[in-house]
Amino acid sequence: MGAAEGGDALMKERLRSVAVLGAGGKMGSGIAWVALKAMAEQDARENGVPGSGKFALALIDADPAAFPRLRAYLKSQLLKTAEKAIGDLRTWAKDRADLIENADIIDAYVDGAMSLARCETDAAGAKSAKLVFEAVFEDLGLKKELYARLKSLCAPDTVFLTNTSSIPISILDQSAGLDGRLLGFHFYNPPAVQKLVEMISGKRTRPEVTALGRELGKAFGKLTVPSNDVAGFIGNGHFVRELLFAFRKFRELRPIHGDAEALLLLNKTTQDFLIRPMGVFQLLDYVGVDVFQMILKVMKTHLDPASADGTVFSDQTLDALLAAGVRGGQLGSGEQKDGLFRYERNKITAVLDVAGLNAGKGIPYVSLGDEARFRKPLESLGALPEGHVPWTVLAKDPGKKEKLTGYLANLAKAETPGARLGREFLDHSRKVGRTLVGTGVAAGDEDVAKVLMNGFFHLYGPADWTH
Amino acid sequence: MRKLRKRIFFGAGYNTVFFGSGRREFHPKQPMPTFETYLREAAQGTLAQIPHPEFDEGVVANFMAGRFLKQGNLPGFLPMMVPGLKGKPCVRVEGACGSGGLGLAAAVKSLLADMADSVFVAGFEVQNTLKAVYVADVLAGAGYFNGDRKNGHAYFFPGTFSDRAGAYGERYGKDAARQGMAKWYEQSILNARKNPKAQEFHNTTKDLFQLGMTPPDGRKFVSHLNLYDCSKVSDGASSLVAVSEEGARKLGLKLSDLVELAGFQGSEGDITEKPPDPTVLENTGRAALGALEMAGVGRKDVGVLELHDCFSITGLLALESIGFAKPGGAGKMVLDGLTASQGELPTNLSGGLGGFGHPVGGTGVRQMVDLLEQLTGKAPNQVKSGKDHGMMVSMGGNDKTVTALVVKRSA
Repeated sequence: MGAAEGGDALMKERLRSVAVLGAGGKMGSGIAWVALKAMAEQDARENGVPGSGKFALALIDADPAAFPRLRAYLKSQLLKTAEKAIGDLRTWAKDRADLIENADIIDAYVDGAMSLARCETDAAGAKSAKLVFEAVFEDLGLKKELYARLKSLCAPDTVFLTNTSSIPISILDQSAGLDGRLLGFHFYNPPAVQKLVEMISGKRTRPEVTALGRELGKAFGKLTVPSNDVAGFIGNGHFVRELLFAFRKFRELRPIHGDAEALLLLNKTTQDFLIRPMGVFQLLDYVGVDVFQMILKVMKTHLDPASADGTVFSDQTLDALLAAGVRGGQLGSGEQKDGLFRYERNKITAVLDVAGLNAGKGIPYVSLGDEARFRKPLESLGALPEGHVPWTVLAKDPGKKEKLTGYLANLAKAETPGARLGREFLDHSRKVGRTLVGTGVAAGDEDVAKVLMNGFFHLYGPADWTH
Repeated sequence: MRKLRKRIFFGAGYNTVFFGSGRREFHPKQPMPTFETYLREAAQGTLAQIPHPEFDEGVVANFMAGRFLKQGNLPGFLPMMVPGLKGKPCVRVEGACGSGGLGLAAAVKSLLADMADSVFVAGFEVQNTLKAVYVADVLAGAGYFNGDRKNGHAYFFPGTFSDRAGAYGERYGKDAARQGMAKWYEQSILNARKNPKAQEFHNTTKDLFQLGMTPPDGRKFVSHLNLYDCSKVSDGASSLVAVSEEGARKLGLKLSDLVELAGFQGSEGDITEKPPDPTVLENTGRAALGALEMAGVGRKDVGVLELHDCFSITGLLALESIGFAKPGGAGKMVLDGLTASQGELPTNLSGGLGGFGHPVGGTGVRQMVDLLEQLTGKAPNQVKSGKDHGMMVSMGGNDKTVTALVVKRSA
């Protein structure tokens, strides 16, 4: 791998042989799809339809039970994509006289693309890969062991991309002796839909590997945002600190309003007053309480106690939730599992009663239908500031920038408790943004904004709160 | 000059709802009414208007049930629809989107041949069994599959008529052409909003013309048409009865409830040939002028018009090819409101193919049902015309299989 390499041609060459480790998982299956999509398209451009035998994708997972679901997922994604891109498919297959109707061409595309993928249970399946995506469990020991094995298995010029959302790249690179061939390539959930990839270069990551990552991002149709190699990077650097702040506010508010009430009103404030797609605690459920704890531990290991802003990366309430078995996360179907809230069809129907957790009677929830309990605390937030537009509406509004400016100015002036609480979160978010830029994790305010707007679907960045 | 050797009438017309995207009750992932449901409803709608429903023959018009529904041998469904047709001669006719017109002509010929005094005619298509990308495959069968499909557009017929729209814009000005097409779209939807059975009845778009002006995007669809220029994927059925005077008497139908056939003409093009001039629908012109000639009337005598506007450009080209507008002048004619419901030549008053919907094999029969309702004063979007004649043009494929019929009030 010389300095002359890199760029588009190299990336295309490498896309001929790819492996995804942890392909049966939530992130891994999404990454498998993103890779297969790009590979099938390149195969079709070169050979009419995919399945020429010149492209191979190894899907590796220790649990073979995950494979039928993974293959079904890939096939349904391929079909949807092929139907949508039928114009391109027809152009690519123009020399295939036997493929005439849309249905012929779509079937050949899907079947051919599926033939690129083979499922394996051992990492040895990655042996001939030129690009290896790794999305195994977020556990430093496991990853170290895996990379040591991959180093001995794969060719000396193989490039590795880890989907870690928090573990420093340099540590992994060094422990396995990868010699700068490892790049952080952090997809957001679900990878098939989310545009954002946080791209983390470690101390030793070679420039041509970083350049390759940028080209891959383009080939995958993703927006890559560079982040420095500091545990948590930009996305979790912000998210984790905000959650810790939210738990502190929870402990502040629970004596005033009650446990379930405080959870709900913090969630509501951060969703409605801040115009976000979901509130902080619902987002925690979405990520998974256990996954969050893992990220937190990684950040604690690498950032405590000398964290730039004095953050302590642990939380007593979170520990209590986990000890009681509160988990969140999603089912394979994408349906939200119960966590801090109970859900029906991804809508909140009940709120966790934190105080009741230790009663030994399972996980207690209070139904939202209990109006007598929730009405007063929610009313205490006061009316939404003038100019408020729900996220679902504003996100689609081409004039959202101006409307947001006006709304935030009103939020800054409003004297309701909800507005005051919202402002505390915005002040905190801005402070975290400054920390991330000040400590060099992010190159600038714009990159922080890009991550929050594309990875978390915020409509504005922390620095846009200027009040 | 050819003349009809006896009097022939159409009556007891019925259209089902034309179902598909745009209808509030349409949910693509939920079960939909079956084709038998449409056939039964249409037949019952017709039978309910006939005191003594005894028919001598049955005709069913359909394009591609073999592919949409895996169902052939369609004549066998006529006795299911109309029990009195058990043991009687029945036939299925197919001429792509022009099947309905052919079905009417087949019935007329049986009557003229003295083989029947009353013929039950139905037309239908159920297409929502497939997604649009596969519907395009099936409909491409209306063109020359072996010769043209491989190099045709993914959306074959939109591609074919986009080429015509491109040539038209090239010759007469792109902007004017786009404005004419946008106005045609607006007119179709405005008419459909007055027709509770129309696919676009629930359409609430405020600025229809503006939407119709959406610039075509060849990367996403086709180069010279936008989605609003196109009729949609529709399910539906229509039926009526064609009778001689004797037949009308036997069935107990009053002449005032019928329209009388004044003239008809078919015209076929060679499906393997490209049109010599893409801005002209030569078979549409020939059939329509032939039907007018047989009727012994001129264009100025037509009080209501039913054109086959599978695409907005097709509506404009038909107006010119028949001579209602001079070449390049149809856009202005539509923009000036001449084809609107209050205009001189009210056209496609139930919404046309873009507004009412286009269950392909049923459309020709639907057009006659609408003429019948207009000329007997029973239409949902009724106009008061001082003229007694109406004309319909049923077109299959790329102006290949065309049947035109002229009818008049029979009172």
